[in-house]
Amino acid sequence: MKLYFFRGLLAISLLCYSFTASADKEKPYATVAEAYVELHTGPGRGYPIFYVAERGEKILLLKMRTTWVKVRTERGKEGWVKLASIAKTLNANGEPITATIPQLDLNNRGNWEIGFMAGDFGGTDVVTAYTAYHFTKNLSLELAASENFGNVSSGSGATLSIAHQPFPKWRISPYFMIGGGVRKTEPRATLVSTEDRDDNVLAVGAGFRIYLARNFTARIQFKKHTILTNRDDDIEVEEWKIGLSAYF
Amino acid sequence: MENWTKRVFLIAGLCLPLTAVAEEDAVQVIEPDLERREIKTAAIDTENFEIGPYAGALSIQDFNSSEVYGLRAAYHVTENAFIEATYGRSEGDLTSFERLSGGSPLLSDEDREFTYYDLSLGWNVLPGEIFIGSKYAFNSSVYFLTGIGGTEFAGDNWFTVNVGAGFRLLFTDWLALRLEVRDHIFDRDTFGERETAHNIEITTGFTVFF
Repeated sequence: MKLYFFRGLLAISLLCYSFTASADKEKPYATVAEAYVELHTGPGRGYPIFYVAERGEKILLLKMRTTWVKVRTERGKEGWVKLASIAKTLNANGEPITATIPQLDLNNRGNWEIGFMAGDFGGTDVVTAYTAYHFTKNLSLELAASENFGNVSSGSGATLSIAHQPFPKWRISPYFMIGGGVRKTEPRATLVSTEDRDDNVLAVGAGFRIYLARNFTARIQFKKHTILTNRDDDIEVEEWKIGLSAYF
Repeated sequence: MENWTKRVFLIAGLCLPLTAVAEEDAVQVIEPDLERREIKTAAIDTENFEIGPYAGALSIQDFNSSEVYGLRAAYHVTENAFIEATYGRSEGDLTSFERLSGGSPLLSDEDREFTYYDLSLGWNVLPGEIFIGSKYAFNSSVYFLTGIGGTEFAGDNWFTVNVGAGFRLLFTDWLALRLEVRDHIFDRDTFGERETAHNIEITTGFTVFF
């Protein structure tokens, strides 16, 4: 049950990626506008510089890994340049490439967010994986799959939430969320066996995103779940979590 | 009331000639002799995802060592950091007690299946190059991993913490070999008392960046 959720999440995020990747295979050309650009042998600051491309030289942008771009010069040299070092480089229309290619834009986080969190769900350990799509800088839709591990009972569940982030430019930025989903509660095997329960859940929450890098944040979140049982009373569960998110 | 209708007509009358003038101005007299460059929506392939299968040996505490198979998917956030999800499957063997006593087994075959998932943060601590002969140089990195997840074993699910270290050798930009050692740690009460179980895993596998 739990694995089904995680596999589903992964499949969704991979699918979305392949759509964007297959959109255009044409490699963009650019002209170096800086005095010079250093080509490294690998996508990291420590890799040695083996070639320097000068102003006016044409470079072909081949691919990108994290903040490094693989380029090929007119002379056929292939190497990796730091994205920030080609920020002024111009495209065929004379515009800076970082402004016209979304992936190169240093201010663009990307609309997709994936991550995981761990914490406390009503006194039990909880693990959550999630993926979110940001429609605007303020508004996002988030699908989260959770599993919690307790001494008396364990459980798993999925929730779909809408989140609002009123101050997206703040380094420590608050957000609020509301959503609903399903939950399965399984009593522990070592105890007297009672039946598994499937219930609907409503949840409201709030938290902070703490920006560690352009596309990397830490998250602290509090959520209050109302489990709609078919007994007389609904169960309310408080949840505290901390986690990490990546944007793409 | 009458005043109102008058006013409406007056305003309408005023607006009509204005709009007519605006339309006349819009007529273009000179056609610009300018060839527009075709602007293509530029895109660069980003290769930040890494996926691949792995296989190796898992030592399940008290239940011997057996082979383990799994899948991993990672997203590289910066040149240093990546987040990774793994899912693996193995099977616990007989405990020494079960072997020696010759009695009935403690766990059913189904409960002996060991499945886990991890959600981890990885850190490339020692990026570098590996030289093979004088002709070939391959990029590589030594990384540390730590994370959380769940393990299903002995009929229950356990909250699991994992720590590990590994080595990634990149044959090309997109194909890599991974060697990894990881410890899956969880508190269990399978034998009545609560104890911390260490399950050490050694794996190797290929990954593809895309």
